[in-house]
Amino acid sequence: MKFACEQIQERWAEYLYRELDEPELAQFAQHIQRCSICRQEEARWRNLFSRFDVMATADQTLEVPTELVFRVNRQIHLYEDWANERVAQFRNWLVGSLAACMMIACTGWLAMEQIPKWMQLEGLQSLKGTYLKSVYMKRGLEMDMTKGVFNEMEKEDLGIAARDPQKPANDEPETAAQERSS
Amino acid sequence: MRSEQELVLGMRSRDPGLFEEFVRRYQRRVYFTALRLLGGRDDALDVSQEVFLKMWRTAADLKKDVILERWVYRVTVNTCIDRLRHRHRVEHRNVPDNLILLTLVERSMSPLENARMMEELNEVKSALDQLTERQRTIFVLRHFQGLKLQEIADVLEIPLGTVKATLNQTLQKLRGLLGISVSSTQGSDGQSVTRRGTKGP
Repeated sequence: MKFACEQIQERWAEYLYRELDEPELAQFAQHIQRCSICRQEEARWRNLFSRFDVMATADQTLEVPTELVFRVNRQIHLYEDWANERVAQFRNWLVGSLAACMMIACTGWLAMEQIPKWMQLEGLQSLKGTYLKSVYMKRGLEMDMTKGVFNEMEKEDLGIAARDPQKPANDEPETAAQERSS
Repeated sequence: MRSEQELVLGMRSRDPGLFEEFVRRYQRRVYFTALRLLGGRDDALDVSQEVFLKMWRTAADLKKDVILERWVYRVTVNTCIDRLRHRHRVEHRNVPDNLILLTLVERSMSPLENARMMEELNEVKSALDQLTERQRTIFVLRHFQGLKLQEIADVLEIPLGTVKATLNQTLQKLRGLLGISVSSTQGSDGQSVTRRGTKGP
């Protein structure tokens, strides 16, 4: 393959850094020998490379600061200490959270087991009765317990015992009670 | 000296002794790549430390068949690019590089030659600062670190064609920035002198 000047222009970097294949490198060099323009171009490129020689020489001559290894080791130790501390903090938080959950669970279980059932029932019944009384009042029901206005179910809801028809009420006059019995 | 395989196994198990050996073996590559990409010794030292710490943190996830050199360059380049992007502007340090000066003095150069050398060094550093991140990275890895173009493509995870084209463009740009031209004249001693200067025929 013979190189033309246009192709040479695109591949100067590969030639200068010796990245071309052997056959291509030979053809490239041959073209440069024949072409004065490309020869001058190569001289410019060599000039450019020589400008970076000072830097390249310094990189080969200078030493890395000795403190780098020390600083890296110190940073690693600090990082490991920090990581271990975070793990310990997380472990403590986890244990504390589990302990708190267990305490709450135990307290709730004890509360459910230890409160006497009659206290629970009586309390609930009292609340239920209060609520139903307010409901019935809103409906306009007469709150006359002695006249037996409420049916048996309502009486049970309100916590009122069913009145024995044979037994005189405390507030009834004796004459009325006697009349009924006769 | 341990083999690369032993180093990889040691790093996967987070052995501090083996990791220190790894640091000593690769510190030159990391430090001088960072130096040429960032342009300052303090930044290069900070970034080098950060690079090795990153590698320590991720060492346990290393694959057994990893090529250490490429991994090192990849982490270094990425860290340098992150640092560059956080900068608001690139500071062009127009002050003599003392370490370079010491090197030159050791060579017993004259003060005039030293001054000229420092001026050239500053021009070159200034030209590098004007490259884009990718151009500078590819140029530094090829010219200063000696990586092959295929290796650069693997490190940067870009196609080989992109690396070649970018390197060509970079060299053209550098030539333009540094005003490279060739004009040969006969010196007084009969030797031909190559003079830098404005672009001409």
